Amino acid sequence: MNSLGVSGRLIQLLIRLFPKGFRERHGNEMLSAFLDCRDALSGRRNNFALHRIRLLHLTFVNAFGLIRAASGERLKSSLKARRSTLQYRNGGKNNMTDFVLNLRYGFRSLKRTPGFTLIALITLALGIGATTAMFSVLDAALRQSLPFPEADRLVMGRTTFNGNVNPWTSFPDYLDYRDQSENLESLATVGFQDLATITGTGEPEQARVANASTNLFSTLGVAFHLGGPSALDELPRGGGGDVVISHSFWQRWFGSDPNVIGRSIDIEGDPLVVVGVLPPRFSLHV
Amino acid sequence: MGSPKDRTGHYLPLSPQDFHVLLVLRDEPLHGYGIVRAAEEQFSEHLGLDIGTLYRIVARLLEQGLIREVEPKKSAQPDGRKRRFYQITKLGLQVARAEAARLSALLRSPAAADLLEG
Repeated sequence: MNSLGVSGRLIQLLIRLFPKGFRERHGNEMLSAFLDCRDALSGRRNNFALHRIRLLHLTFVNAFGLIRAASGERLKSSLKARRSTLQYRNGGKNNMTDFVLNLRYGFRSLKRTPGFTLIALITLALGIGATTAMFSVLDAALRQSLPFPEADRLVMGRTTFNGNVNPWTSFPDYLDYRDQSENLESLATVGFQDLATITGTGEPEQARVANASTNLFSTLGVAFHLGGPSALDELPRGGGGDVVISHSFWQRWFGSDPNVIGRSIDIEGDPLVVVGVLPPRFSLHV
Repeated sequence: MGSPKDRTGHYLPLSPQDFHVLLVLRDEPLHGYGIVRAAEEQFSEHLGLDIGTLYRIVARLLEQGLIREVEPKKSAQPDGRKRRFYQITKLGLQVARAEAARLSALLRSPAAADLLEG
């Protein structure tokens, strides 16, 4: 017999997943058939890289096939053994203890074959993990509506420049869009979120901040926990301005002080006046 | 003992892969790789016959008595690697014939003809 090589050893290992009876009857034959397939592939070798790819493909197809077939054979033997156990214990009659017997038999079977159990558990874990992740993404993106009132009336737009998204739209441009728009009841703007250093009353800390127009929250229909920004039609000159803080920041930084409106914090050294506290669990990802 | 139809009816319908294995073992005894190669040569469609699937089918057909193991010719194993050879049995041939007739009748039905023409 030719040397097994890595692929042959992997197949030999996977053949061990089959129940003992099946393995003893067909194990060597399966390995032989795989080695024959592999040798036939080597006989057609004319391009090393292509040959390696074909060998890899052959090995993977057969490896997965063996895992699938071994699971099927194990299930078949378990069912056969379970049937005979039940017939022996119940004299051929089914009753309510079937379920308990099945459960016990299942656990004992898994305990007897730790290798197979481990592979089965890993396969299950990967499958469940991937499915859950995919469901979470699709659920959030396609099924659930945005957590704002009348979410079906909300649209998000981006300005473009030469056909590409323009991340540097100016505030005066936004004001023009807002004033000239005839189809939208309200048009708000918000920039990209960024990390900034906050200083003031407490220990300095970094928090995510974003520039937004004052009508952002009224456009989204968000009811403030405290306060709320007044309309602002132009940017403040010489720095300064208003800031709206999250509920958790208000609790952490100001100790849930109900008189927080009007107090000041510095964002990157720029003093801003707190004009509103958002409701708990408010989140905006753009 | 019932009629041949009664006996074969118990095995029908065959899965496409079981049917293909019976068909390739009709002409001559073959070992595992021989079955894979013959199936690839005889049927243009992709059968997905990896060795795990193949030997589950072989085990099932052996259990049902549709194929049997035969002694290989010495010339069939030139590299000294021992292989088992399988051949269709008389019952297997009857079952394969019955399956072919079943499929043929199915294809002759007006609905199938309509599908093929449409």
